[in-house]
Amino acid sequence: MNDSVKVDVWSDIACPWCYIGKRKFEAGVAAFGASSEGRPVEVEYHSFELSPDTPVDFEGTEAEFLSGHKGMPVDQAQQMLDQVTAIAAGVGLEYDFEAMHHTNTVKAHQVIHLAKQHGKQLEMVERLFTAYFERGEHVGQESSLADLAAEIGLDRDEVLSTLRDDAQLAAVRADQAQAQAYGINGVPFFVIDGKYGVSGAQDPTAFEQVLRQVVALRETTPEEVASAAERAADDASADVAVTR
Amino acid sequence: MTDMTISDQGAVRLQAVTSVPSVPDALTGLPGVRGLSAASGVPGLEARPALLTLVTPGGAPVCEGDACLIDAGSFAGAEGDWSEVPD
Repeated sequence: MNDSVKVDVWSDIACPWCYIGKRKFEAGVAAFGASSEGRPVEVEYHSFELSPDTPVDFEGTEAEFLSGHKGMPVDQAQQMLDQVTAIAAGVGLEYDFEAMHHTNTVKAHQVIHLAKQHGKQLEMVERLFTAYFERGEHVGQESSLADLAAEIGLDRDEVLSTLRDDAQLAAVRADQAQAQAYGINGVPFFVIDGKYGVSGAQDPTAFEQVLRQVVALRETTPEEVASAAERAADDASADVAVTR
Repeated sequence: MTDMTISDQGAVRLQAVTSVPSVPDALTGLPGVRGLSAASGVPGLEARPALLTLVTPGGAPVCEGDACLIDAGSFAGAEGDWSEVPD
């Protein structure tokens, strides 16, 4: 067994909880690394399109898009955005929904896959998240994506060529197929050691605990784990029966 | 029952996925592909055993489809059930 822990993350750039969850996950990984059981954590991001029918360009604010899409007053939509903004601030992120360019993310996912081939996936994911949520930069248009990718060291022409040819689209679709295979319906979703799933933007302590437990569980099989849990549940049921 | 406690604080559990909904294969579009077996016939994908999934009291915020769910109780001064927020 490899000494490091592998974490596969399914997320979408246009997912506010994915960026917030990313920060919380990173905090959990840092705490895990600082513990006595700590070991290297290898992270790989995978594509998940929450709303594949979203247009590349939308003229208007995020609140206006939300209002039209959900059929709710703009004020109510803005209130919801303000709530998310406040939560993001709690993990050090400065969401700016006023400046956001609501867009389709399939091209951004292709850039992430290209960046992975160049060993720069994590940098690309972070750059795209901050572009979308904090800086009001467009993550759906090819020229903008090429600029962002060039910032982290990718070749701008290669990015444009990749996007023109949809050269990484198959990789995006393969990620989505794997998500379906896992039964993943929402993101962020974390798969640890290819066996353990964690759904949502959990608190850092939850991520830390799970990482520690997964390392401990390497000594047992999932079947043994499930069997032990079943015995524990039976014991609990028996206790309830006795106390009736 | 296949729950498993993984935290001595009782706050975090791993739960076996015993049933995965039948969904169309994303690549082939074939209906009726069931759960993890969907991956087995797709080149480049690896068929894997069922995931043990984390269960936390109250869940954690996720985006699903074109909507996100958030625990309204996590806001200062807010109470109540899950409410919808945008993606």
